Amino acid sequence: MTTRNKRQMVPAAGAPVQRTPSSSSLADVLNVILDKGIVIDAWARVSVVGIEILTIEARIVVASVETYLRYAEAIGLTALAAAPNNQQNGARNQRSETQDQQEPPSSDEVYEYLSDHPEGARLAELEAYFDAPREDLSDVLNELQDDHRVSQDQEHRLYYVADDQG
Amino acid sequence: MDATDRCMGSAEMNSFGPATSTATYVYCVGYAQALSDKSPPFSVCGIGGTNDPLRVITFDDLAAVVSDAPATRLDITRENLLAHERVVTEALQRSSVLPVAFGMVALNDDEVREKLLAREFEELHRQLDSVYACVELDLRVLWQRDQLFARIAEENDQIRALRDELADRDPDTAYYERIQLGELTAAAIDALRDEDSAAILASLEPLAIETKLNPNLTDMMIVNAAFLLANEQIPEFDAAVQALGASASDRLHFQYVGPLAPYNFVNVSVDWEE
Repeated sequence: MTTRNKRQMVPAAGAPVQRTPSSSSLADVLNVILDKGIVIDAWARVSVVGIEILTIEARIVVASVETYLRYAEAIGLTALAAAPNNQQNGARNQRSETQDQQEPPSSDEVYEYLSDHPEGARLAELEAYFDAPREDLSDVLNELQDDHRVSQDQEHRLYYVADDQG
Repeated sequence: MDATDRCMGSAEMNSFGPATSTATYVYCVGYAQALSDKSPPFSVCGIGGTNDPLRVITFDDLAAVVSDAPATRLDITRENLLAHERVVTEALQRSSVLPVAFGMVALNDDEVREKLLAREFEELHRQLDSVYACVELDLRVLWQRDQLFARIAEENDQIRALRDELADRDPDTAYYERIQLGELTAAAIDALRDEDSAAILASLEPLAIETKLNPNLTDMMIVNAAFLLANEQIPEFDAAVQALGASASDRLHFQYVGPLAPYNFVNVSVDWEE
């Protein structure tokens, strides 16, 4: 699992906020295009086959025991980050070692995995490999598709590295 | 070769003009003069992958941008959504527009003219005038997850104490204490969300004509807002968002999109009862 150790989770500090055109960040404007604007009831002809992209947006946070346990876990890990004997390595390195099961993989990691699997990979396979929740992986895959780095074969539900990156 | 030729290219095999099997897909409504008079043809093609050129249907001084489309249901696919959005975006560069939601298909051009433009003329005109020379910018602000939890542990004595107490205990025996820690954390997150969103909106709302707040989509989301701006207000608004980003780039993540047609500021819902 060498790819896991190369994990780079630090956000680009100080990177300016980019305003992106709507056509290049479809995931961000999905709700807008589908739900807003002029609606003519008699003319609405939409079939919902693309439900997978919708579920990501429709994720709603409900306070539950599961949520509380997840938060407790996240708070517990902040103690490791602050522990004195970790400071030489840097808190982040330490955390990425101990938190493999919570953090979603980065887009580069998913991309790398797909590069190694030219035949394509299913969501469940990625889920198992990265030991990450489906919804987090969907986010990452969506981002990669928005960047045209990854394509999806809708019929077979396979994700693979896009041919025409540009 | 101009855009019309390009769009018509592969459609030649099928037919010219509306055939009986096609219907009329509607993208947006704008001012007739800006959309039709002397403007070059649209550079993008219509929805559905058939390369149908875009057309403009007018009534009085209003116009609808449309194209032929199959009279079947349209799948919500990436290609179709992008096709819709590209047309609306290009129309927005020519005219103020009221965007139509994805997937509105009329039987034919006459139906668009009569049942939308003519019948709803006054309401469409009023709303179009109200967004004259305006665009929408959408902003979502999310916490950086690690930073958020570190900040909560640092700022909240009770949470930090409980965390330390649980650190050495077997997670199974401390099940209820862990739930309690989670509940306290959830409450702290809600309080911080109110605080952070108020601060962000206080610096942006005064710079916009109108602000529409939409529900947050994930537990890390603080703000999910649409802002209506006159074109000349955009630079100042951009600068304000940049300033927010610069002051909090290590703990906040921004999704900033636009210019969009004013989707969030259109409220036309047509339901004929005949």
